[in-house]
Amino acid sequence: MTNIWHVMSFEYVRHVFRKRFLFGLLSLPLFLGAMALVVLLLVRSEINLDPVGYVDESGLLTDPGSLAGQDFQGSWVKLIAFDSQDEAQEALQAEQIQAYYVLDSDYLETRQAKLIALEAPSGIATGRFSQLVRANLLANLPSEVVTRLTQGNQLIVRSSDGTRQFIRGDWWGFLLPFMVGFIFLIAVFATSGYLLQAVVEEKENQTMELLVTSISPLRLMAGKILGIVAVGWTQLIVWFGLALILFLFVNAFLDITDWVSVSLGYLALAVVLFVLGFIMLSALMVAVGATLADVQEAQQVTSLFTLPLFLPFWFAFQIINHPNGPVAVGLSIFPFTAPIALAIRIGFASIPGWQIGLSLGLLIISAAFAIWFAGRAFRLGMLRYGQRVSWREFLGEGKLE
Amino acid sequence: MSVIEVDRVSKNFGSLRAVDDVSFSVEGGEVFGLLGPNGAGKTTIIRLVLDIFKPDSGQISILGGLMDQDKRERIGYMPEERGLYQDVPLERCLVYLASLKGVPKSEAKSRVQDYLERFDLSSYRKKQIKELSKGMQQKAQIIATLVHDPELVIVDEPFSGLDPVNTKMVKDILRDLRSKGVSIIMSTHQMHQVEELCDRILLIDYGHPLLYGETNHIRNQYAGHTLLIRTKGTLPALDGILSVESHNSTYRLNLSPKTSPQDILHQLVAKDTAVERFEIAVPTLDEIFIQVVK
Repeated sequence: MTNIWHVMSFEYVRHVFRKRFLFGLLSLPLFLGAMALVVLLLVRSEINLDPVGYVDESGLLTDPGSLAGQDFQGSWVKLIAFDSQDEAQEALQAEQIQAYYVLDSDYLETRQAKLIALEAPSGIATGRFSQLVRANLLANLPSEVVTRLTQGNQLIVRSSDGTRQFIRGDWWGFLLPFMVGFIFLIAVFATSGYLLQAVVEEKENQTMELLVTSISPLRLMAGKILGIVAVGWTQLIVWFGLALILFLFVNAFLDITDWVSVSLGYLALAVVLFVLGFIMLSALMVAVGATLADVQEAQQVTSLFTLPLFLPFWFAFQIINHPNGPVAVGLSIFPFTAPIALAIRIGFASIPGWQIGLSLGLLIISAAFAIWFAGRAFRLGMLRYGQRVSWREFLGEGKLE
Repeated sequence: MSVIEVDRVSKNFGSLRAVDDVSFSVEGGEVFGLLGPNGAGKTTIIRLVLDIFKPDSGQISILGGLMDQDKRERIGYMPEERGLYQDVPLERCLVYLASLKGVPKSEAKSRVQDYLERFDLSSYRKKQIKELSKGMQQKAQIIATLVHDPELVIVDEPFSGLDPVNTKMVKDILRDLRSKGVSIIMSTHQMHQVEELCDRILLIDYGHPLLYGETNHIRNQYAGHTLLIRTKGTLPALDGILSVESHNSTYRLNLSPKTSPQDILHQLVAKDTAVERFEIAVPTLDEIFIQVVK
């Protein structure tokens, strides 16, 4: 066991303190941050946040600042009352406001309001004015009733056994399963490549020969796989830490605690799924690295078992719309797609315990088989410098033990 | 007591018979030479002994039994193609390899530091191995082979690519190890190094054993039909000689199969020739090698 630990810590330090790793570690959050900034700037440039004026000839509207606790003078689109249309028109020409509304004296009968603008006002501006009118029309009702009427209902869809619920408009509950799957995908791609390259390099520079005379191939491989799993988890933990910092930062300005919540059970299951998936894929990377002649060839072959990782995203609509349908169930049981498919599916449906058990069981068996497979590949292929191992050798003709 | 016993071992790779019914043993404290031309199967035999490959038939016993983790830690191996992590600092790489051989990490650090100082490499300990010269990398490889004080050292072509200074250094290290009772297997095709260092040899070609035994005994077996003679004055005419070559006033006489060195000595005495040198020419291993591996 000590030897496995030595190999694991050596592999970990070797990869984590490389510039390539640090670049990979920081590039994803930087990329996502840059994307978010670009989207924000684009949206901001498209939205006109200039104030909106109104002229109330109906006498229905009172001071917007004191209405049912709603802030109509906040930082977004301010509402400004004008005494006459001339004043409002003057402000519009002077570009102090983006538009103004006029409620005629017979508004209650006609339900018609006029909008005067140089360009079509933003949706936020029209929404703001509608809110003001509604709040005034409901001003005589108790504030709780006003709030309920203006904000609408919160529809909670709950499974019959009560284990799952989904709140309409809960973007976090919708996004989280996909985020979890996506992060796993990125982590696998980023780190398993290191392992593949490390094994092929060891084979190419012939360090392998020295290693296998010091430690048994199975132990060597176990150490390598654990080392690379630790590297992958370092990556995930750093990303999670950065996300937490971002959350705390945003939460300090906008209280989003109610929106963003993660069930510990879900998190635990995701961790187990990812560890097993990681071990299985890493072991297969070792097998490929040990049996093929160069890095380029090895990368082509690894796509055979990394491509299925994308399947749950391709079938995302089926999984969301029919989370207990055959496609979703099949994908969450097949070991290559299970970590991501199950993580997504469990976000949208109540899944029978036997399916989770079967999925985990098959993943454990697959991970163990992948390690055995890698061990065999390792023994057969590690000293074939510049040569690949044939399938005939692999499937039994090669004498190993 | 034998540290290695190889008994009728064969190994095929597909249709290629890389090792064909090879048997030999290596005794404690000796330097054993594994000889043969390039591609003869030397490295395959070493890999079989080290349990990297499994034999198709035959038995191998190392340090008294089958290979296991404990025995791996008692063996030092320097492969022909030197294999150290190129992008890892020298000291970290050596400490790692020592720890894989069962040396506790703190002890490994201290031993590596001692070796680096002894080999004039301490100022390079933080450098990546790819930044070191070939000679320095060779020294690093030797440290990796010896840092865990092995009982058995296996070196594959230890002199390939070395300049004379480093060749002497490696030879001195091997002699030093032998004097401490360490058993050494040396695979090489450089025969003059074998003559200097090896107590016993196994010569193979196409995976098949050709010669096996004590180095001097084998040389003497191939001696007997060539004489080196220096005389005062001209060499008289002698019977039973096939040819005579003269070089630096020494005559090299090739005797006919029925003539013995004693016959020649009798003739010289009978002819009252003043003899300054009379030596049965023992062939070099190079000559035997060429003669056997035809």
